[in-house]
Amino acid sequence: MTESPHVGDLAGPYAVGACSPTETVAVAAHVSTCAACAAEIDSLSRTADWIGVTAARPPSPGLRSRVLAAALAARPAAAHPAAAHPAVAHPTAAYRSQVAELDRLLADLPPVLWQQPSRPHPTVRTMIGHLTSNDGSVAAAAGVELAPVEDVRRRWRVQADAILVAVDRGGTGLLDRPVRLAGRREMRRPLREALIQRGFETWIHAEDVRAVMGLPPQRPDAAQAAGIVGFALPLLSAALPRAVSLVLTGDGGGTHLAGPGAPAAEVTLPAERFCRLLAGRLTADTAGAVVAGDPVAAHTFLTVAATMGCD
Amino acid sequence: MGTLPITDDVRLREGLIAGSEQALAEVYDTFSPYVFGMALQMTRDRGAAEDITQEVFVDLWRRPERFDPHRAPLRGWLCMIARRRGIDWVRRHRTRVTVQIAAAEATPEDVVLNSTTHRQVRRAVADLPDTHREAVLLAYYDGLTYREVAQALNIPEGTAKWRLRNALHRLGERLLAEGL
Repeated sequence: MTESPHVGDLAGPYAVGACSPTETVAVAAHVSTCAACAAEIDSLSRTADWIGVTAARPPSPGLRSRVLAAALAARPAAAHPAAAHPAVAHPTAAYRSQVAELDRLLADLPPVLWQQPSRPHPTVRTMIGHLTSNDGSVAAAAGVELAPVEDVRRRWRVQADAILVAVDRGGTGLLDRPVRLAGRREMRRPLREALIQRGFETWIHAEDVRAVMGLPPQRPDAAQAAGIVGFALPLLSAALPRAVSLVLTGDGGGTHLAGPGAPAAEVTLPAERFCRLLAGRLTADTAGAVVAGDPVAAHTFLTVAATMGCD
Repeated sequence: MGTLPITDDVRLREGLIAGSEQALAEVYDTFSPYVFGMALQMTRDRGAAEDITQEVFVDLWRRPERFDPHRAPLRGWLCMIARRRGIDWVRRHRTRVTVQIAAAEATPEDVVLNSTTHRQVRRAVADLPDTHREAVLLAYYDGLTYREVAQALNIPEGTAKWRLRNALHRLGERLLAEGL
């Protein structure tokens, strides 16, 4: 660091904690004001994290009860935390049940209704084709390879089942694998999050099919709604200019902060309606949100939220 | 850096803060292979690795709010703490800088996790030039500073620094190209 104002080769040692204490302090100070060096060190540190992955190996089964007992002795568990946190569910649970539900609906869908428009898609048939194509990036990431299937419904279902089987077999490594999310923005997230999005999109298309068939709507259960909110909020937050406090009522509800800084407004609506807004089936004006504080910040939040869908 | 938090990490942190035993069990089941593997690779002592694993999870359970999903993924954060504790242990138990290069590279006899991702990363590390791999593994698992790396490998300090930086760049480019 003496010959150059930048960190230079010290970036490598710094990323793996191999500098002297004096150098560590000097690098940290430099990085706080130099974006280029900060970016390099951030990237090298992330790479270094991967090295640890190569050492992963399961501990002996006996260690589990020892560690959990020691933890609970240090801090007792809460009596009923499950009720407050319905989101603790298996990564494929919501997707699995929505696939089964949509397939039940499609089995009963008369041929003439397959040609019915389902906004924003020209027909139900093209909508299922679109869903199959969106599922495709998860299928590819999970290593699913399928022979061509002619029938639209069968092609979708066979691929969805193959994804579920692959995820059940693949374990944590597969769930961590980055996947391109469906939607307008180019965004890669771990496969476990892409599965939440798959469950979300499958549910909203089941709603679309119910509408075409004249059946009453069905809300996602509390765990799925909480999962959708948890999945969408970080993405939404990153796109917001100002923070909003989001109060979601009903199943899957809770209070959340979205966006940077202190909240400029508070937006209250049922969690179910928020999910429909995220899917683009409601708009900022039709969502029925109760707004307090800065109306512009609230409207921006609702408008951006309505662009988070997969169509 | 403005990286997005991982949804599961946010959910697990909330569960831990709420005192959910289920969340604690899920965190242990998901991440204990990484924490234990890191500790074992560093200490090469099964008992010490189990103690470190216990400390890491008990500590997370006692103060889950210290984990910030906006700053790092939970796996990386837990591995970082395991590594720090491993370095402490190694430094306490190392009488001289007698470095076991071979041991740092060798896989202990028991089963390593073998998903595609694990294999990809392992292969990428194995494919580094020997001189680079030695330097990185000494710093990473043995907790050596780059000056100690230079001593251990009998190379100039500037070369040790450069090898660490260059090795991480090569590894990062390879993993990026493989979609990780």
